[in-house]
Amino acid sequence: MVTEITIPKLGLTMEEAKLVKWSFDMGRTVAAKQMVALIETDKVSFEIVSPVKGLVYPVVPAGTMVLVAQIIGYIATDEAELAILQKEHPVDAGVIVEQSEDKPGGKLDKTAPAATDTAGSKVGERIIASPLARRMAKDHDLDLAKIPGTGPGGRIVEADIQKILAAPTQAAPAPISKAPAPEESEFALTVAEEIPIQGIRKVIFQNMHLSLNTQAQLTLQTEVSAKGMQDFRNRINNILDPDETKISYNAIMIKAVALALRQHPRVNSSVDGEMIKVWKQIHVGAAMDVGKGLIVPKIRNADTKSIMTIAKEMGQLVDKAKQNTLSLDELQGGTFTITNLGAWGIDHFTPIVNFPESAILGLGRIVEKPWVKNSEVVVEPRIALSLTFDHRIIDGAPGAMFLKTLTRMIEEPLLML
Amino acid sequence: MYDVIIIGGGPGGYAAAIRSAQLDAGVALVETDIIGGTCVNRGCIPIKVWLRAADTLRRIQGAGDFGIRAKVEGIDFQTIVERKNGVSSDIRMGMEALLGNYGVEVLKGRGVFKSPGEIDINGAVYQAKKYIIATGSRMAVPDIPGLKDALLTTDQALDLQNLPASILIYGAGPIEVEMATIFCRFGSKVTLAAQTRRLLPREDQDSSQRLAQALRDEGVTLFLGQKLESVKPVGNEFICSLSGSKNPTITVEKVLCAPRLPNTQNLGLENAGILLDEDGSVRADDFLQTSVEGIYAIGDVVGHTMQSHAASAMAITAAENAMGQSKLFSFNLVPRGAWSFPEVASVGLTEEEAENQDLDVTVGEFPYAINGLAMSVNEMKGSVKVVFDERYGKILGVHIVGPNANELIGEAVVAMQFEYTVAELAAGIRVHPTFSENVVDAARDALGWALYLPKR
Ligand SMILES: Cc1cc2nc3c(=O)[nH]c(=O)nc-3n(C[C@H](O)[C@H](O)[C@H](O)COP(=O)(O)OP(=O)(O)OC[C@H]3O[C@@H](n4cnc5c(N)ncnc54)[C@H](O)[C@@H]3O)c2cc1C
Repeated sequence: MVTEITIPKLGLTMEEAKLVKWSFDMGRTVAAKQMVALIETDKVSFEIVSPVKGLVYPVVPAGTMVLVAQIIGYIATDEAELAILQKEHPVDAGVIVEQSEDKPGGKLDKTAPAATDTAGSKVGERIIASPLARRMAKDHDLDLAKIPGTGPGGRIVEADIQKILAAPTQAAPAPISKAPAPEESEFALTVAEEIPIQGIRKVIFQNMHLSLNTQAQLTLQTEVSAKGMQDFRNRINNILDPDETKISYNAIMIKAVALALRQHPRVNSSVDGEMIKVWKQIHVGAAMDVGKGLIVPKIRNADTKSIMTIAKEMGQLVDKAKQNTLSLDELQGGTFTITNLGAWGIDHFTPIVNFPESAILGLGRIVEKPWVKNSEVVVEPRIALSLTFDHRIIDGAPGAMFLKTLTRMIEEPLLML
Repeated sequence: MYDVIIIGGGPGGYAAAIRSAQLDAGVALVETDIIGGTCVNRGCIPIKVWLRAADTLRRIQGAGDFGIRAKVEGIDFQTIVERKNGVSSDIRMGMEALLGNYGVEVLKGRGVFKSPGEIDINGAVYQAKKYIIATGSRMAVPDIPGLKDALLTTDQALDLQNLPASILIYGAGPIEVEMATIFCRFGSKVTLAAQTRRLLPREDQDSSQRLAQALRDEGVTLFLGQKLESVKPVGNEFICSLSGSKNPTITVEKVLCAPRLPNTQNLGLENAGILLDEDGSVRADDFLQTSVEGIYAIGDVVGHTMQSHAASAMAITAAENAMGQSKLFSFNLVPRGAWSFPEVASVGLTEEEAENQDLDVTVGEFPYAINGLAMSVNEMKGSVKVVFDERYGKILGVHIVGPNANELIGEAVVAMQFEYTVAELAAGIRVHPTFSENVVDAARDALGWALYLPKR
């Protein structure tokens, strides 16, 4: 029996993915549970494993954008089945093998056929489409030969047509009153590089805009002594066994934030329609950039975990982030975010809330500074805190009170006990 | 460690177990009671035996129309109950044998989640890579003063050796309607009251109306849009007070009601972090996955259409997804059925629902009254109604009242599944004379060219 390889839905909002590569050429044998293809969404990359042992028959070339549930290829049990597949889904084997990750584009080409690059290759061949899809395509003058089918056996169904109708086509006619092209002059700007806004960049692009567009964000800034936290960290790390994960400032911060959130639950909330939803769970995310753009893995129920546990989990999340193996679950569903720009020598800044959360804490560097204490100038390690919150639902005073609770715990970590 | 553990051995759990095993999973099926669940032991199957008995009586009573003079000497309810038990146990034994045949391990006991990855069965802890929750539903007795003493559950009703002389059936769902059909035919004085304004409120208004008329013709008294306020004993009977301007009271021997609630309690859902929807059912997405990855839910416990075929269809999707596929479940293709005289069945949107979705709605309709077979066999109540979108001819819903409605609705399910437009349905050919011709004729009416209806 031929097994279909389809694009799994990896999260509630996932609709499409990029087929990055095939692990096997056509006709090669894949073992059961072995990776057969790699896909990448705007959040994660995911290895599709073959449910069965058999001969691989890729249909969609690597580098193509594919839809959830779309069939991208098949696994044949034997050569005979492979031959049938070749008849039923003819593809130019050469094309597939040559296609590679670095092929430019990777945008869903609404007009390109799913199986091959040569448009119109379905001429004379039977196009499998539902009667409703045919009728809709006719009504909208769409060429069925150019539409990828996601129904059983690659059949074109209503949803495939709807998808195309819903999305603005790239080939859409340009606006009539097109601005006149600027005259060529020595002052005209020339493009050095065009970077498509897509993938993680697109998500960041949209989220940042959504956040600022939706919330009334207010940032409060303060500075506290980092001495207590430094001592605390050193004391613990000195007594740890060499194979135990050392605790980081971030881990202490996450714990302190989580405990402060418990005392100020309103900061741990989201707006949902006409409702402020104060969350029971405290899931603190730590924004990080591992070279692929900004991601925010979460420490779940951070208020209930020890600093050691948090440090260990953070270590694992960072490793996973570097290897690009974070699951969507590890990236979604936070209630508060911490972002640390200390490594870049930044003190104060205005972080943007990680929507739909309602607050974010920015950490600056720890730096020694002169500080007046009991009328005397002393040298003390200091750290800047910047708290941005949604002023629609959190008033200034409660926001400041949250920050106050937090600063006390940072200055005296024993308060976390 | 199993690949899949399924909790509940009703039609949902059974189908999920077999489908998982077909995909080479190591499967355990947990069941506290007996295999077959509500459907086989206390639901669909038992009530069909009773309905067949009632229908046989109905045909004998109508035999005079065909020149056959027959007299019913008596009804031996014990034989009905024994036959019912026999059929249930035959089906159950068949299911048990097939589970064994597929190597499914049946674990006796109540399954309770200890964590997202472990379940406890009688104190022993089991683990699986994936779980499928198929715990079904239970009867939820409404909180009405005095109701308890007068209550007859469907479980009890299906085992009755003597039928009450009078009964109030409270509720307007398929189970209540079928119960009213049975009791009425066997001579009980039946009153059906419900809070909803119409019978089968989930169905198209036309279906509700046709069914209401049919039940009245059978002799059922209907009180719709009225709430049962209280039940008070008087001697061997009960006085039931309904709300409403006239405050009617009804005196009966028994009150039957059958509302059902998803079985989500004592299941450790909270230990696994599985979330419920507002209506108390387990929340499942279109892949039938719950809020916890790797844990799926199917059948009555997820609500929607609480019928057996929904459970077993969901089972296939959930089992395939548990085994690494990613299949979407088409909730809109789940048909609904009730076995009254005449039957009521449907799939998709009602006319009203379609209109509320701002679609360009048109309907086609064909009555049984002018169908050749219906006239020949003297079963002329009912009609087939096709609701479709004018723009592309997309079939949005089909609503059938009439003999064999539950068989005929399969045609509509196929048509909608494969996205036939109303034109393909109208172009069909059926054996003559059959009730199935009605489906084609309704589609032709939708397009304005039904051959057996007056010119439009
Ligand atoms: C009188 C009546 C008539 C009906 N007629 C029809 C009909 O004609 N057509 C139709 O389609 N539907 C009918 N239904 C509905 C149908 O019976 C249900 O929709 C169907 O049984 C649901 O299947 P399920 O597998 O989800 O749950 P169920 O059949 O309820 O099975 C669930 C099983 O799980 C077990 N269980 C529960 N909790 C646990 C636990 N924690 N551990 C282990 N086991 C557990 C239960 O013992 C039960 O055996 C009828 C129902 C009733 C009551």
